[in-house]
Amino acid sequence: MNILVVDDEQDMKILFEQKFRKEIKEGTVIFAFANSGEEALEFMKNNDHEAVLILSDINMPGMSGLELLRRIKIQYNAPPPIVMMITAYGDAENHHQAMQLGADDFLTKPVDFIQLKAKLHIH
Amino acid sequence: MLPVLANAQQSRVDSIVSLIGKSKTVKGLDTVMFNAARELINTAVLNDAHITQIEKASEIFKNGTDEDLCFVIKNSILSNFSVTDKIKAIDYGKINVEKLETSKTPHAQILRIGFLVELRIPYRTSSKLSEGFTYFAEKLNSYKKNNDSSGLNTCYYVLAGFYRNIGLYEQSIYNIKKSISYIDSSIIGERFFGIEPRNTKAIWINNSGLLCDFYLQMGDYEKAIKAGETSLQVALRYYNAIGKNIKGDFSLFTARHMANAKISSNQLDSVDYYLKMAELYSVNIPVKAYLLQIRSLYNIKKGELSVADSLLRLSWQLINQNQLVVSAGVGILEPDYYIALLRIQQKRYQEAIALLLKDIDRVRTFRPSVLRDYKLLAELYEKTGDAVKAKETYKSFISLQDSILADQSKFRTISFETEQLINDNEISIAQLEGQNKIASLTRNFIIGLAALLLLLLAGIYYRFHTKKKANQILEKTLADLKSTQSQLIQSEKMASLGELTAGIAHEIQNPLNFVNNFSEVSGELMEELKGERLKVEGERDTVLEDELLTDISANLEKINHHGKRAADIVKGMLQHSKTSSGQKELTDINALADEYLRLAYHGLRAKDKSFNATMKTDFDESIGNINIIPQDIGRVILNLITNAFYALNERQKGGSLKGRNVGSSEGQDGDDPTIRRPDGEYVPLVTVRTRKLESKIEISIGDNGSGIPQKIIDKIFQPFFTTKPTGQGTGLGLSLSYDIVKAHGGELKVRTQVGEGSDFIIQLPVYS
Repeated sequence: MNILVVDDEQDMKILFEQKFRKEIKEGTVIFAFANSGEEALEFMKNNDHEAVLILSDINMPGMSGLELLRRIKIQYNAPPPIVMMITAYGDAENHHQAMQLGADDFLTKPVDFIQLKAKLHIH
Repeated sequence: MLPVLANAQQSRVDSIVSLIGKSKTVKGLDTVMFNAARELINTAVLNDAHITQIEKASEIFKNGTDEDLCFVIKNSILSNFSVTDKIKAIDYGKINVEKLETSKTPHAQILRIGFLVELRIPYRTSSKLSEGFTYFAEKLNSYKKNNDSSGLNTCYYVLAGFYRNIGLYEQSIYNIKKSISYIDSSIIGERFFGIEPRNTKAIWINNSGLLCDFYLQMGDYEKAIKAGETSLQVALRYYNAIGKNIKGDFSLFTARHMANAKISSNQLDSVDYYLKMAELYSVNIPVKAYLLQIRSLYNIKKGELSVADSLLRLSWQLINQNQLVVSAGVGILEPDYYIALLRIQQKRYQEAIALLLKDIDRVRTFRPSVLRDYKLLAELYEKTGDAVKAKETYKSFISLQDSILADQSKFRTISFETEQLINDNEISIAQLEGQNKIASLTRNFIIGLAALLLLLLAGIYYRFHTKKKANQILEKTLADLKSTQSQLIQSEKMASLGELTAGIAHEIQNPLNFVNNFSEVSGELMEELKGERLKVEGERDTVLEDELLTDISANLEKINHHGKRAADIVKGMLQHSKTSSGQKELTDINALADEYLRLAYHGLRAKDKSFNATMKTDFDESIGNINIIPQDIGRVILNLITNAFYALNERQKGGSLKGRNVGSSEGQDGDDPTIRRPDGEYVPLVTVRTRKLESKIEISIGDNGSGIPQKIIDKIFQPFFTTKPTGQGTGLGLSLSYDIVKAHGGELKVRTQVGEGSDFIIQLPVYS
């Protein structure tokens, strides 16, 4: 499974690589990382459809995660990638907005990796 | 009462009734009979039945103008009560005053005044003095409303006497002067059956005589003598002019005050002259008894001790024979005190002590006399070597003095309230009739002088008061402004802190998440490592073990890094909220700007989820570290960025205005497709840029909001100017920012274009 993690916190990459050490080794997941919404779109442009699952932070300098979600759902619609939002602002309004924009799931920080893995399995 | 005495009293009442009956004849009133009846009433001991009898007898005068005579009888009854039953006297007097206020008989006014004047005696000699104050103050007020100068003159006169009673002589003087000022032509007529004189000149003579007495009581003998002399001169001239025999006239009352004042001031030459003049008046027995006291004092002063002795014995004889009470309205009858003075001269101290003790018992209700006696007694005890009794007596003296002072202070309050009541209805003082030139001139002079003084004082007071008031207002306003200013500065600080809080929460949340995640994953790595090490030799993956150890070690660094990061944010927040330490330190301007940009953004987002903006940073890496107060400049940057975001948000809400083309900005991301939308839709943008110039650095914060209209551009740095709705902005942000930058020796400028956006530029000297 190709997963694109979008977060302005660069240490997220290290964390994901450690948490998914086994899966990465086994080749069941392939991670790509983008530090901003802009970078994520750039990646998507260059690697069309390679990411079937996008895990994106919401609050980022520049383009927000919700904006990224909106654009992805508009631009990539056949079939659209699965987009899961991860945010520190785990409030109802953000959740509602994300769902309206077509988010497939919603997680709050700190990421519960057991829960995440279970969700990835479903998706 | 013993039956014999009761019978005697009844026969006296029978005589009164008979005399009243005989006084009415076909020719008119037989004044001899009538006055004889009144004389008997004055000295009788009357019970309720007697009163009924006498009043019934006087009903023969109840028709027409004769009704006045009924009131004359009643006035005599009141005089009787004044001595025998003071409480009854007060009620009786008040009832008759009320009746006379509505009566239409020819002498109603004189009679009413007569009752009022008579009423002063029971009030003064009972425990009802304060009620007397209230009663007369009320009367004063109502007479003032009716412009009744006769009533006013009387009330002030009575009040003057009340104040004399409690030793407030200044008040007495004030009131008697007031009384004099109400003597006018409306007070007419001669005496009516000996009831108080209702003649302008006579009242003036009487009142100025009282002024003499009050000054005498105060110990101001010079003024007393002056007032007394004037009163007597006017009296003698007046009675001479009208051809009236002065003998027995009330105006000679003043002569005894003059004699007293002369004795007290050791001007013994003229004492005899005034005493003789006073004795001319003494057709009345109590006055005779009183004058004997004064003459004896004169004799004591002259060293004629045996003369004094016989005079005082005579005084006692009169008192005992006529059952005279302590105060008969003429003065206090206290021969024992004078005899004591005589004994002291004779060095017969033990007798003097006994006499004083007897006198204290006799005059016990007249506290000034008791006080005087205590003082003398204590001195005598001391003189005779009785220290214990001397001490005791001094104690009594002090305790009595205290109680007098306490009462005086109580009455001062009443006096103040009375004055207030009076002043509420102050009327102009009527002009004194021209026939009495001396009285008129003196009064007018006093009034004129008083008015002038009052005007002067009022002027001074007004100036002082208005100035003082204005100063007080100014001081208060200044204090208020200072307090408001500091409150506003603090609230501005707290407002920007509030804006920061949400951003800070987010900024702290992230490192804390990493601390949690990295420690958690490290635990997992450790477990994996342990598992690896439990494997038998050969199966163990040493490469993996090394990898795990490297990761764990890196994670520990990450935990440490993110922990520090959180700590720094908290530190920054505390620094922001506290007052600037004023310490400049070398600061990475780029990092500072970046930090506050993020904080401001998150802060705004936390408040308004729908808000979104693109942030562009363009940092000049060559800028280096600048010597500034970081929390102060941080505050400026935060403020400018917050304003920029606010402008964008407002524009987004407004919608119609076109912002400047994001692409046209100088940023290197001008062609970034993520910023400019293909549909040309407005993209809110905040740009933070730093530049190193020759001797200064520049931080500019730009937005593509609506811009600032020219008409308010001059005001934006003024304190309290804000375009935000009430309650949302303090109007201090830009003003404080301006001050901070100035304090750093720098400049804060604005470039703006309506419909395009604004740039705020901070320029700071490199070596500040």
